[in-house]
Amino acid sequence: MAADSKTPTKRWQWLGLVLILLFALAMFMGPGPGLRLVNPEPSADSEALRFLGLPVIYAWGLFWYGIQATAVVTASLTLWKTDDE
Amino acid sequence: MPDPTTPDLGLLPHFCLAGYLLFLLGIGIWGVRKSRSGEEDYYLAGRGQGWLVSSLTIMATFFSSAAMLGAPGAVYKEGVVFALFALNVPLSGAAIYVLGNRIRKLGHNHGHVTPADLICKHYGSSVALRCLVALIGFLYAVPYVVIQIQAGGIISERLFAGEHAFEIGACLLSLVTMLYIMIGGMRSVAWTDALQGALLMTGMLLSGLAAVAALGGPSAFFEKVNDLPHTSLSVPGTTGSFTPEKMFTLCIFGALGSMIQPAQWMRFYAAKSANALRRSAVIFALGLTACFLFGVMLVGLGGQVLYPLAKPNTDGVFEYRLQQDTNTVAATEADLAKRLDNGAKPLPHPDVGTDSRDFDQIMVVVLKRHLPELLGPVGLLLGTLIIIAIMAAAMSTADSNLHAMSAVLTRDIYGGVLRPGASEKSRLWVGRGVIAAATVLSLGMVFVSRSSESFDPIGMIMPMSILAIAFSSQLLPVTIDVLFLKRGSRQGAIAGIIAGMLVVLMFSPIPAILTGSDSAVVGLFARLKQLADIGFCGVVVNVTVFALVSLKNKTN
Repeated sequence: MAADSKTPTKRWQWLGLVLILLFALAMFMGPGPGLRLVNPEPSADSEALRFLGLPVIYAWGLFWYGIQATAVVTASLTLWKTDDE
Repeated sequence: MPDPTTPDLGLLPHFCLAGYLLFLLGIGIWGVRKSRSGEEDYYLAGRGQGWLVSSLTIMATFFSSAAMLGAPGAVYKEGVVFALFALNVPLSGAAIYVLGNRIRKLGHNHGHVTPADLICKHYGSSVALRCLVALIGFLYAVPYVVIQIQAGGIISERLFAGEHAFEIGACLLSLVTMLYIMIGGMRSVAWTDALQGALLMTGMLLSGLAAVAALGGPSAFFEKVNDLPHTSLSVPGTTGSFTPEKMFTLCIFGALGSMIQPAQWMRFYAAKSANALRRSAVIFALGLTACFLFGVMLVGLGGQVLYPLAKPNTDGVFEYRLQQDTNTVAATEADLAKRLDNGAKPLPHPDVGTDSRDFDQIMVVVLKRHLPELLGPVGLLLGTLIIIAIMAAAMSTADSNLHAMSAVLTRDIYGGVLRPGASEKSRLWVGRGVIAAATVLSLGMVFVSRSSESFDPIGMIMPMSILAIAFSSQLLPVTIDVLFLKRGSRQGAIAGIIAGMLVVLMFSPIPAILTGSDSAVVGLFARLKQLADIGFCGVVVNVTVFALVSLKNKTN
């Protein structure tokens, strides 16, 4: 009985940790130092400045916004819901 | 000054604005009829706000006129790099639940109204701590209120022809805002914020659509954007100010600092349930970021195409117009960084403005010129509505900050320090007096700045507003300790806040006034400012001092 009641809590703790790490990664990569991975060199040709027709920096931002949104929605449907009165 | 190159909107803005202001006053009166007597009702709407009003009022408070004018202006100036600043919004959204729900619970359990109530209860009542927390709230609120009133004047000047359009706009904004806060308190503020928040989100998205449509649809829009100069499409942007490291710290501390300022803190107390804050967090994180990324940021990018900052010269090399002292000079993309280091400032396209501070005008120029061209009378109406949405952004931030300032000064200083035994009724009247006095004072500062060449309070307040979030961030270590860690001491909290605030002050114009603008200290902090957000620098010192003093207290 005690093991049963502990299992979901442990699962939530893991999920919480994963979501925090995912969100932190999105903050670091999206507007943070991770930007350097896709930032075009000054000598780069115009193709290097775009991705799927969008400016590569903008597309990068949209991708990490998707990750942030996923983390917030998942937390809202799982971790935060269990905390409701 | 009316812009002769843009279409005349006729009497449409007068009717729209009059209708809008009357509607706001109506909501204010409705707030009075719904209200019950007492401080808790006046400041927190009886702690009964549902998810819809909570989410809209939190959003409207978060976004000032800076979101509608400053953000597209920054993208227009710096390029696509500033669009990524929108990624701070999901963090603010998450903070609404993670921090906000704990604040709400403690507030409901103990009857807290201001941030200082909660913090001082945790550490044991202390006049010094209460005054410090109140001071941070005050330092945050004042610049914001003044800037919103000024924005109201500028928008009015852009909308209406007439010699005194600025003064009339600024007075109307202040008067209507002051009236509905004074009569209806939080209930009126929250309901008007809800209307303004909805208008703001619609305006943000519509303005993005207008910019995309003006360039011939999404494909044509991005095709033209991709032909912009390299500096506009890469990091650290046109002026080289937005390095990834700076953006990272700015996004984190900008987001958290804005969420623990007194007006937002009081909205957490006012929320009815955890569910209200949970839904608010999701709407905020998803909806508002989308409004930024697919709305106002596209206006800035489209603006760079419609009103280029740089034009190719005869060799096909992009050339920028710069302001060097009083002269206008040209610089190629390769020379740009060197010129900017020597004190030159980039200039917007002449149709947008003639001064290096006119980048923020891009939104109004795009709306006034291109929406009517594209959609005729409907465009005229939409353009006017979006410009009124900008005014809504200004009013919603001004009302929340005035209301919070009233609570902070009345509860924490008047009731907490000056007259601890004051009755609730007298505190409420003092609170209303604070709102009236702060509004008149802010309005006075706006007018003095406009009329006097030698004394310019707005000139001092603009850098202060940048420091405001950094000051607010200094409550972060204490907040995290109170809500999660519970290991700090009162002395540690006081020492940490003072140390953090002193560090933030070192980034203000004060050291330059005291030691001269070419001193080593000023140079050091200017270099630090290039590397990281001011709030971050303050928080690093704040946390260190807080931890060390708390540890020392524990061992003693």
